[in-house]
Amino acid sequence: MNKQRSVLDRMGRGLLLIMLSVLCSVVIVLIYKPFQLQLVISTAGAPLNDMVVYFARASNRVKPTSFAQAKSAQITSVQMASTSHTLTIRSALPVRFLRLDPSTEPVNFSISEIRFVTGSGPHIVAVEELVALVSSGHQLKIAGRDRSSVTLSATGVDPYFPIPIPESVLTSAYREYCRALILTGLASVLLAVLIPMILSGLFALLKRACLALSRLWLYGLSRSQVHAQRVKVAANCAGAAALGLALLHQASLHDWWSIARLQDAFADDGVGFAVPAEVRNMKTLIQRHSLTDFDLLRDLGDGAPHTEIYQRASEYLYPARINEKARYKFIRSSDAVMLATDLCKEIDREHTISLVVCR
Amino acid sequence: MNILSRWWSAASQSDQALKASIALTAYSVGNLLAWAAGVHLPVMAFILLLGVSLWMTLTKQALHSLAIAACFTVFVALIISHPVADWDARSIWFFHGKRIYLDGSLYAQLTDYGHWSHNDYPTLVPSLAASVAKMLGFWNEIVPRTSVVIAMAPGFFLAAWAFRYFGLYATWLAGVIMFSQGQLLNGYMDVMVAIYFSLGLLIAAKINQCSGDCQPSMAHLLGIAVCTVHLCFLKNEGLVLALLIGMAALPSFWPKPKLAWPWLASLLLFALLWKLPVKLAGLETDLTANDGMLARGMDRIFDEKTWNLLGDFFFRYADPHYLVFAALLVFSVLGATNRRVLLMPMAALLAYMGILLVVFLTTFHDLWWHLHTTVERLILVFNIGTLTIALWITQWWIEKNVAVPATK
Repeated sequence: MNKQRSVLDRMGRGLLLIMLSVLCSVVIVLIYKPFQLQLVISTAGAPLNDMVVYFARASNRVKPTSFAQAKSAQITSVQMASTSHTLTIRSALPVRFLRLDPSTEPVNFSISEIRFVTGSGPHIVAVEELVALVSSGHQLKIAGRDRSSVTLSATGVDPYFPIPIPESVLTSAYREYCRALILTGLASVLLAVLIPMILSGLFALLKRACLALSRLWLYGLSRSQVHAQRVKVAANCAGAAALGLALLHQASLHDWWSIARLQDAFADDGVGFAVPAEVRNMKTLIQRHSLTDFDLLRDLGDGAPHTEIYQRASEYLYPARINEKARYKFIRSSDAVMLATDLCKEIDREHTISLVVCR
Repeated sequence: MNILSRWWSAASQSDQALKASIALTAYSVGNLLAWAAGVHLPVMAFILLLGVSLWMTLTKQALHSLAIAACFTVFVALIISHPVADWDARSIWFFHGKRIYLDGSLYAQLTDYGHWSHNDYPTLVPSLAASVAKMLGFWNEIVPRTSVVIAMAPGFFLAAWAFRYFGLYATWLAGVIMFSQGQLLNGYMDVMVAIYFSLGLLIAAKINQCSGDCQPSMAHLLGIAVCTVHLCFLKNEGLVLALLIGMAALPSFWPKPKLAWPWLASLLLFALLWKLPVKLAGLETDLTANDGMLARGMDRIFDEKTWNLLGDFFFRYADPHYLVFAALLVFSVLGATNRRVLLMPMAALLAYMGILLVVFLTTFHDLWWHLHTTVERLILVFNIGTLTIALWITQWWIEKNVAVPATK
């Protein structure tokens, strides 16, 4: 039995270690973002405001058609003139697609180089390739090109073009990523072993502190030589005072309270102002005409069951029921005039509410 | 019959307050059963039971009894000063009560008239409201709300049984009243749900405390049943909480399944008396009608706004008192010599947090709207839950170390 228990105990500990390791790995990966990619973009011409590179964490099988902000992440936003900029993309998961949004306004500029920097050397996107990419972009026109650069013209406020990451760059980046993951895993196992040890030490310290604090609160009673009976009386008095104050506070929330109101409690209806005046007027009309069903027109809640008048009419006027096919309908008196046709006719009125009967 | 008398004598031996709680719960359940058959239990029977309960409790716990009487007097006086005004109280609970009263059946709402009124919601308080209206002889917009006090009464007696020291009991009552603010008497179910869940966790802790060296008494198990039956019949989410109470008592229920019978019986009663007719009527709860939960949940998990909203709402409504009690609770649990007993009740409380998180992540409503309309009420479970457990730990410690005689 004991042996079985110890096996179970070991399995439990092993499982806990694995879970902790996985948890640590996930946390480290999310914080450290081991997938790294360096991108150098050289531009010339007008300064580019709010240039942004988005990346998509798409899998090999899914090619993103949209780089919605929620599904990709913004790398940076830079003011650019004639210069080259190095951007480092960091992600928890491998990145497969990039999108360059050069500007948020129509502007002319040229790109002389887009270069990926990897551990196995740089990869430059050729001018021909760049022309093809820009052509598949949005709100961008090629204004000119030479051997080393492409001049672009942004025609709208949301110009962009996709930059697929070349396979050679991805292979190199994946290699680095896998290496980082292995290191992360090892670090996680180490952490998973260390964390319980650290926690148990901290817990012992915390327990001491808590014991000291809780003694201030309740354990202190026994440490002092106060007579138990006195403590009891004091605690009872304090409790009674707290209860009294709480009841007073609760009463203060009902600031409309008065003895006179209690006489109304057993009145026939007693609704007071708890439902809107329109609905109270409807009740008067329902009682006057002994209606069993009715409908609400226009802003009284026609087809709008979540409005106040509709819901109050449903419950307060019950057992009279709302029925779309009912002949008797309620409408505001101001609207009844407009409704007066051969089909519907006003038969009664109570303040602002009219009862109409329709064929 | 023999079993019943054994249960009753077990309760009698333990405490008058528990006996009162069981008797008052029996009235509420009896009233549900009666309405299911198209009749009702007269409210005078409840008033009589309450009088006897107060008198019996007076002989053993005079101050407790007086405190309950004072609370109920104030509550009733406040309730009958104003008609039902809050949205859900009118649109759901007292609308259902009115329909039970006028149509003469517990299942009046299952025709699904007014589908927005959550016609699948259980009807403990509505059926009590209908009985109050029967006593009046007509439906009125004010007096049926006293049904809230009727539904609250077993909880107050149960707490009197759980907190033997008046100082602690009065503090508990004061805490519940202060935390609940305007929601205590407005006709919503949330305060009662929080009260019965907290007391259920407390009794689960008591059972766990006892399961090692001694046999938990039938009184404890009946206490669990009182909480479970109220939770189930108060509100849909009460079923989840009733299951969590079972989870909290699992260390005791697992090795001795017989102990779980009263708890299971309460769930079975709920299933047969309410869930089955709802199912047969073809009504669906809004949560099970939640299509596309997974996709919505995944979208929200990765959306920063979700977490900002959740944090914003829960911190905004977390009462400063709650934070004080939460701190006291942490000190108490960590400082307690026997943390094992509290482990499962605390796990149940945390599990409820997890369930709420899933509900919010997957809700088909606009998240802001859903949080805006519910967080203030949901936080009550944590406020009152931590208050109850913290006070119980205090009592536990006093019993062990100071040995002050309980109040007579």
